[in-house]
Amino acid sequence: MIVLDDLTVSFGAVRPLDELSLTIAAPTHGIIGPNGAGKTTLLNAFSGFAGSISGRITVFGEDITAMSPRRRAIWGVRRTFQTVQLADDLSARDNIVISVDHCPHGFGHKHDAADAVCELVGLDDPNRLASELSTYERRLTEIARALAGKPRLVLMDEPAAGVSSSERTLLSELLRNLAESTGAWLILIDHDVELISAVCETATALDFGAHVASGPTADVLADPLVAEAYLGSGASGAV
Amino acid sequence: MTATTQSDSVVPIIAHGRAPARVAVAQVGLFLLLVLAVAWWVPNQFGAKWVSTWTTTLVFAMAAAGIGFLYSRLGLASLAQVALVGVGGWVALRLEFGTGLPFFVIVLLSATITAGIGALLSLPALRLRGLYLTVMTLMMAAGFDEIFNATGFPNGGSGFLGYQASGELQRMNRPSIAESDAAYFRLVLVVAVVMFAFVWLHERTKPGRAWHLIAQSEGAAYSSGIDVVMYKTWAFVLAAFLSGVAGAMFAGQLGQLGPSSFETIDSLILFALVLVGGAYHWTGWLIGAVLFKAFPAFLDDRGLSGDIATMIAGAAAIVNLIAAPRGIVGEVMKASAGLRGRRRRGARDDTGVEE
Repeated sequence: MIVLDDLTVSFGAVRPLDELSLTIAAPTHGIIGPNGAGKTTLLNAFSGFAGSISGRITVFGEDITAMSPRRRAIWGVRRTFQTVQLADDLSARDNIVISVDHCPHGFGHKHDAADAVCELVGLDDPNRLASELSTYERRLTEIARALAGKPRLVLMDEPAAGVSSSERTLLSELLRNLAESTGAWLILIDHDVELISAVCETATALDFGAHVASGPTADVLADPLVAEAYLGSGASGAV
Repeated sequence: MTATTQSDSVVPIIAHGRAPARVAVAQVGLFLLLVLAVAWWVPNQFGAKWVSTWTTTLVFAMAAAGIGFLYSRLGLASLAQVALVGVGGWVALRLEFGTGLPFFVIVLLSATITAGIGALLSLPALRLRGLYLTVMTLMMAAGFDEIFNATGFPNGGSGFLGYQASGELQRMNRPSIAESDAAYFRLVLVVAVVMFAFVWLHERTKPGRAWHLIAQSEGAAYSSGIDVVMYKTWAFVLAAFLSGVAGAMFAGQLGQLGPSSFETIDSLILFALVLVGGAYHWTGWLIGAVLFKAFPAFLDDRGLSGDIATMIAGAAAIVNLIAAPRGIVGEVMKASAGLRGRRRRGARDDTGVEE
């Protein structure tokens, strides 16, 4: 269970997230909303990068609000980025081993731990340099890095951006089964409502930093307020 | 919970026995053979002056290694590495005349003390980024330059500074196994190889991977559990350690040191030459050191002013930044990769078999 209490993030007078309270009870949860809704800010608040923050974030009973970004990662809150962040001069495997280097991974060799995640995400030939990988393989490598080393909660920021539709199908398959295969919960941010509805059991819609709707994904997507947030007022009948 | 991750933190990739690791073993063997050949050949081939020049080149190759890995792994430009060689040399001379400890103990102690100073200097530096950090390192080099000029290098005088303007000058003793110039060249060669191997080991293991990701994105590094500040400090400390070893070996080579070897401009030139040689590969660091010390001596031999080397270096650095950001070594590698690719394509055409 993940609980947000009155979470507010402010940059001076601007509040990209304003007193957001939310309970996430399903292992795959989507965050949707138009541009500027506060989706990425919410993700940054989870991983500890949001600047001035008030309120409380509780993940599986542990209050992580005061933890540093690094402590959160080691504790098990991992993420991927909107633009893939890999060390280009390292092999895909070495990029993944980085997480195993610094986060708990149990016994056994680090490279075996990394190879296991490569297999899980379906990344072939991880000996290649990150700079030689395709866009989709770079996404997979970053996801694998987030999954290596005992994650509890994985946050992904538009993982399907820039990948082809067939790859998108593979990706949604992988993400849908993530909780089962890794034990980690997933919070997925995407514009792509199709991906969210294919992957997530529950979802939350945000607009201007405030909560619009939450619940089972289909219900949230059908909510007239959500359509209004996306398409403007008066458009609720259009969806 | 971090104990398990640290226990095997320095297991090199070799230990895993994958195909690329076997290639690495062959490369290491070849490399060591080459080192042996150089150790035998150089003192036999060259006269006293050039043996001394090659020794100095190897000394500064260690400092160049510090510059090279800071730049290529972390994207940090340090313009203080020659000044830190001076610090290492100063401490070594001070320890030699103050304590009379064995040579190798002095080398290790001066390197450690220089590394400590590097750690202290990195504290303010880590709060800065990019150009600001680089300017800060340049100011440090200038600061050390001033200090060396004000204090001089220990030469057997009394007091903490150990400097005397007149009186009997003392020299640093070389170890009994390497008293001749030829033997000392071989000793510096071995020490330089050990230092390069030390850097290589860092690169191939946990710190190297962390440095790479930090250079790409500190956010991604934090989100992967990396202690960014610690690893950046570690990098500065390692680079300072390399300069410290270089300084102590330099003191052993010359017996005495003077401030003119460690001017601010020298730190700047060595940095530029490492870029020209190629910061992304150890051979580039070596080329940088050759251009720094051996090339001016070569010009000198031909009756040309060694200062021409500085001008050529400046021009080369500009060409390098515009046309070949990975330096001479990078260009050679690109060319050889192109050749290999062409040969492979040729082979495929012959056999009609795709790889």
